[in-house]
Amino acid sequence: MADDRVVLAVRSLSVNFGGVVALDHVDLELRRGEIVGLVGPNGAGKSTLVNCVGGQLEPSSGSVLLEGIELGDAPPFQRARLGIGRTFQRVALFPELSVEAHLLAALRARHRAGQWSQLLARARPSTAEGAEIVDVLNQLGLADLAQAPVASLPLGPCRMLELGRALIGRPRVLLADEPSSGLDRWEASKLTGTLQLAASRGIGVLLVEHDLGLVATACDRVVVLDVGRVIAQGRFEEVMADPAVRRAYLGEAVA
Amino acid sequence: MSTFLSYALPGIPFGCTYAIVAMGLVLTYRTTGVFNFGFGAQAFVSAYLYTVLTENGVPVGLACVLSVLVLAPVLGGVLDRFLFRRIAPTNTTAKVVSAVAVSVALPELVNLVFGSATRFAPPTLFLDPGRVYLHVGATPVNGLELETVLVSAGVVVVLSALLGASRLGLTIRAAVESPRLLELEGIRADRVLLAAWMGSSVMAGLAGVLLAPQYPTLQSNDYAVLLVAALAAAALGNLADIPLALVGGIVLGVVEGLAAGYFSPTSVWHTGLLPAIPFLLLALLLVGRRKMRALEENEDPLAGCDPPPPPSITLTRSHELDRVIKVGGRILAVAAVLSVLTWVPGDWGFALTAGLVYSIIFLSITLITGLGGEVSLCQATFAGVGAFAAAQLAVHQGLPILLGAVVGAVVAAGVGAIGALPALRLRGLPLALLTLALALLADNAVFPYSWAGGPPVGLVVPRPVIGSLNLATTSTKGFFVLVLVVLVLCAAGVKLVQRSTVGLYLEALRASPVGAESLGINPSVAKVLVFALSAGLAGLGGALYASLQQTVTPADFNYELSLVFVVVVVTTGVRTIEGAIQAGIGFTVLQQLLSYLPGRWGSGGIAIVLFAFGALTYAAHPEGVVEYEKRVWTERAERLLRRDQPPHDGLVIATSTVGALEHPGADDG
Repeated sequence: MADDRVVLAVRSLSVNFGGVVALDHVDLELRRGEIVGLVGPNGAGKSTLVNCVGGQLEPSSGSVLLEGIELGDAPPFQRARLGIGRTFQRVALFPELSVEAHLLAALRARHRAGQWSQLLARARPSTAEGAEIVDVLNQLGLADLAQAPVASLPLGPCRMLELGRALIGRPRVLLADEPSSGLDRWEASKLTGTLQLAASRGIGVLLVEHDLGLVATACDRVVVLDVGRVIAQGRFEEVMADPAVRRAYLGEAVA
Repeated sequence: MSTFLSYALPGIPFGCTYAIVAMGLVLTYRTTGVFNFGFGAQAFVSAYLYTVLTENGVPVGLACVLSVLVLAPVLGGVLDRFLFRRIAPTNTTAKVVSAVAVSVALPELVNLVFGSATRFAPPTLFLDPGRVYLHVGATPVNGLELETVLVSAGVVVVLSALLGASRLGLTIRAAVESPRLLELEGIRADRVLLAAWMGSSVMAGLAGVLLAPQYPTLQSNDYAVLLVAALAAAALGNLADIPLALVGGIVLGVVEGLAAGYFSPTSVWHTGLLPAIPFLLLALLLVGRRKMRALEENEDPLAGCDPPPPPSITLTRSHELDRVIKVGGRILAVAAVLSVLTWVPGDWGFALTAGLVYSIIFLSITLITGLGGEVSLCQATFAGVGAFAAAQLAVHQGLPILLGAVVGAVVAAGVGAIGALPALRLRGLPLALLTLALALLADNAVFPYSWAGGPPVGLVVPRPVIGSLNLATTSTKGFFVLVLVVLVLCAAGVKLVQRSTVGLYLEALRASPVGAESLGINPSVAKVLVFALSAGLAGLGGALYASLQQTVTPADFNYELSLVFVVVVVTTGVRTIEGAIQAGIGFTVLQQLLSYLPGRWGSGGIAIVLFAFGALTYAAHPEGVVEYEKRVWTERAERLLRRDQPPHDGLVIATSTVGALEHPGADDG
């Protein structure tokens, strides 16, 4: 508790779907500027955990704390305003909007409260907003596509845009749910760069990832989930050497 | 106990017809994902044919076969083949709009073909309605009631045998999960779906024929109520469970019977609550049940193979078209306004003024459906709220009508905001159903009261008086100018909202609610906001409509009108302001033109049918078929004009888009 660098804390989080235990008293801490990889076989509960933190799913018990403040049953939009940004396993963009409009919507939604006051405010970026958007576009390598409708983009730029949308306006925590799936190696390395840049700016990144190579290069620390429990955590090499982890991934030796 | 029985038993036959339609609804919904609002209308069509045939001396048995076993399945097959098959499984709005269009078009088509003469109750199928066949306790059961129950029982037996035991049942249940996965197994899913459509249409037809002898005359409205009652029954089974839908239908019939018996005929309960029971039940189920809210979350495992939906008009319209429309539209508008003020005869001036008023109401659909992405089936109700509020204030408080219109708009906005509250967690189909329930609730339990909709003969509404200018005495021209000014202001307001941050949020929410909320957009506030604004606009338009007509009756803003509104606006373009104005003008001008036709052809029914057919193209052209044609024609014009020149950059985008639009069905094959 004393560690004031902890930006996100998950305490004894459990989720039951009917009789199925998806998460079983999971504890997890994320520090400022740290990239933590959340790995585990399919069905381990990784996305469930991310959804509980993002507010898309209500846990059965346990709590999520953002900078020491209990989030309780705050809906996703409140969590976003408090500083949780996230991406989705299946890209959740707005196909008819342009790349720039995505970033503007994210920027305003996070910082300008109250839609009643925004009813007649023009949806054009102000000078300051424009600068911030250009900054993010350059980071993502999407500067040429600012005005392109997202429906016309292939998956790679879509994933990058979703990441940028989550990062614009400086959240405290970024939840990246399998951001590299469907990307080629070059795109994945660009993604890693973006995550590292975000972390260097003090954002705590929780990265759900199947690509262990990417996890090895990007993450400071790895947490392994299996069947809803944390079975190991620590540095990548240590964790991967752990027999429990090998069992979870490769199964028991028959002999 | 015997009183209880005597109240409960007469409800059972009604309950049985509800149950048959409910089972049909569940069957199509579960197999095809289409929620068929048209079932009430299909039941009406079969009942109508049955009535007409028996009136003309065709034997009852033959008439029944023709209307239930021939007409109904053919109709179902046609709807499947030529309409619902062409809609992508994920396109909820298109499915709702198409089904609404069917429900609007069928009764009008029947009127056009057969005329609107009153049709009296047809004979029953095989038992004598006058004879008491048996007693349950002390309550007599007549032939009509017994027959309905027997036939319903037969339907249940046949249906459960088919679904439970046969190979067809198995494939239908598999088609529920994913028709395309079924095809991978080598089974022709389209035949399975066709069978489901035809089967459920037979059920609708049968319910229609069973219900027809129970009412003194044949009214399409009774079949709309049948549909909603069946909806409520199906909702009891979460729209998924056929046996529960059966139970739900019968329970609903019994509850209505009991309510009719126990409430004294003069009490508020009897006049107000009784007709509203199915709508209330449906609304409660929609709001209260988690499973109903999750209706839209069924996902086809092969949805990933679908091509992305076509991009929106705002992004793809060519600059040339934009310019042509801007300049041409203005020239046309100025010419039209000048014409109305100078040489246009009175009745056409009145029609065009009405067109402008409709445009204001239709702008409310531009907001809620075009921007908010939700289909509302109670926009006429909001218009009615505004109209009645303004009329009551003018008649009883002596408030100037213009002030009354503003108050009416505010009241309607309030009603819209309150109406949005139960809808906060709903979207897509459940939301459309809830708005339909609200509209019917208002029709049956609110507007008939004289404090709300006024007396049945109507309220006399004044025309506005501005200073020394009395718009009633200066023909319609003065009023025309006034409405024009209001319309321009409203259009400007809608444009502002479309371009505002909130407009951006609404577009985001429409495309991906989860994604939008993860950015910090509060979906509840957005929904209340768009409902309130939209209802306010509709209310303002309604008040102006009342003032234009100079009278307003409780039946002026019924639910059917809401359905027609949606159908009309969707045809011309739901996303743009010009779409709403085209819809308003087009609707009234078409009706005015048709009024020159003789007899029933001049009644305006054709206009509704035409628009309904236009709306059926919504799936292929979500930007509106009129907008689509505009693009095709500008594209052609451009091709002619620029035959030798290489197209510049802006045009390349436009060309490829229009090219893609010309083959919208390519992905269905």
